[in-house]
Amino acid sequence: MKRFVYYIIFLGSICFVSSCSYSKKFTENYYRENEATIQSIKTRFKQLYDERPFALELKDKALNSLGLEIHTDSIRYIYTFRTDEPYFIDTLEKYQFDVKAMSELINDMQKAHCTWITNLDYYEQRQKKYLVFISVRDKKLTAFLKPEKYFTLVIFDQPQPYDEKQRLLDNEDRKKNRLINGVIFRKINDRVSYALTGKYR
Amino acid sequence: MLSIYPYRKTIPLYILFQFLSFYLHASAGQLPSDSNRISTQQQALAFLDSIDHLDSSKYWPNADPDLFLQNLKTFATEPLKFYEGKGTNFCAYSALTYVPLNYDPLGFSRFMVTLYQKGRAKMGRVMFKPSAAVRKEAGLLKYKGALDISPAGQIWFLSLADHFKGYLNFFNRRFQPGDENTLWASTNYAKFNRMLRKLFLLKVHGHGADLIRPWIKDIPAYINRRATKGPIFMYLNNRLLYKKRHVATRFGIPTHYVLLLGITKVDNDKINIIYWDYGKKTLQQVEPRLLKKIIFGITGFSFRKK
Repeated sequence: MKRFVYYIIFLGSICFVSSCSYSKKFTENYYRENEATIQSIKTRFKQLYDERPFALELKDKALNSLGLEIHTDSIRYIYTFRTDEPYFIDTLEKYQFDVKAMSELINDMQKAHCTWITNLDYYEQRQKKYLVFISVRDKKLTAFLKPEKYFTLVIFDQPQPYDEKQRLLDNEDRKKNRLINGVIFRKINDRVSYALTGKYR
Repeated sequence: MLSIYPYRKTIPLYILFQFLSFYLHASAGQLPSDSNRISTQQQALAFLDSIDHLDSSKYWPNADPDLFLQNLKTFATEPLKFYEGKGTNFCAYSALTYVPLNYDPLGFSRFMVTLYQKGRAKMGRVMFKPSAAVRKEAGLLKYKGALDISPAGQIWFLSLADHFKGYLNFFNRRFQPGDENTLWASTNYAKFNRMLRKLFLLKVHGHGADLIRPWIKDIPAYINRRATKGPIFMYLNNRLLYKKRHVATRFGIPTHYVLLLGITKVDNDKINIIYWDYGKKTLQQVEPRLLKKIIFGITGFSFRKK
């Protein structure tokens, strides 16, 4: 009986250790390896967004199914397409998107395993500001007995304050951590922060 | 990788979407219950403009009076921009706010000003006397998007959540900072219908439950039939409608309330739904099977005869 209990504890420990180890390695390497692509995604997205606000989702594991949200002043249209569907291009043309730039954005997102990109609004001194919010879905972020995690990146236009533990601070009250979607983010550089989250948006 | 396909003449989805949005704009002014309007936006604005200056309230120490008044003006003129905030559990309160903002904006403005000045006010059969914890918190909610700069919205949501309790609030009845995201602010289906009845003195017709989906053969036909009497609210499983994780949801429970503005079957066997939440109308195309799976409650209402 005693031996059986030890056996269970041993197996449990292995599961625990293996399930905790994925995230640190991934966060250390991902941004360094994909920095150019992420910056290109951000620049393209902002250019396209300035012309017509939207958010884009790559829905499936193969990153071939698209979710497109088009925002107007009063209504939000939510479409779902496959990348090989002609409807997609038709719709982009109808809404006067730059089809080539959008295709390049999607290609970059596929390359960097991005599953979601949007502009998030936040308020400082009662002024509305935006940050670019990107979620990455990668099989390295899945682990045995653990729900899937997403590597989420937020990109600001201005440098942001951080505390000594590299956690993002509120610009208006530097004793408080800024929460984005209810989560504390950590520093990659003074404009880019990351978090591992259970939700991609 | 994506390639750009040669342009093909297809019947694009956007035509259907554009048609529906046109239909939506055209029909919005003809809701069957418009004759039940108690006051107009102009009356509400005139009342708010008549208030030269609002002093800071001792009851709501963190709610800025100028911003509060400005919020009320925005609610009166642009009711569909009313916003529940990111990540909060205020969706039920936001959905039902459509009723006073659409049918009695003057009554709502008066109620809010009284609540701000006196710390208590009556709406329908309900006397609101928000607790000290809630009064202190209003104006301080942060990282919620546009709700950050809406002390009036925060006062309204926190007062509703503080007053109305259902079984979901059983283990968390007293407000602590951060509870806007927890079960303290949650709303079960019976509580939602009760709020409509007590606040606006409506005849409420609810069909559904918290855990069991209503059995309706043809949902669009059913809803369109009900919509002739007045607006419809839907109680939905939002995890399926608006996915935030890539997991197959095994045990579906409803978590979200929306105001339904239109529903139509389209040619490709799908259903277009137009609903209002998060300060915007949304037009989304869904499979009939998915629609059946996500709807847990359909609430319609009609006005009592005067």
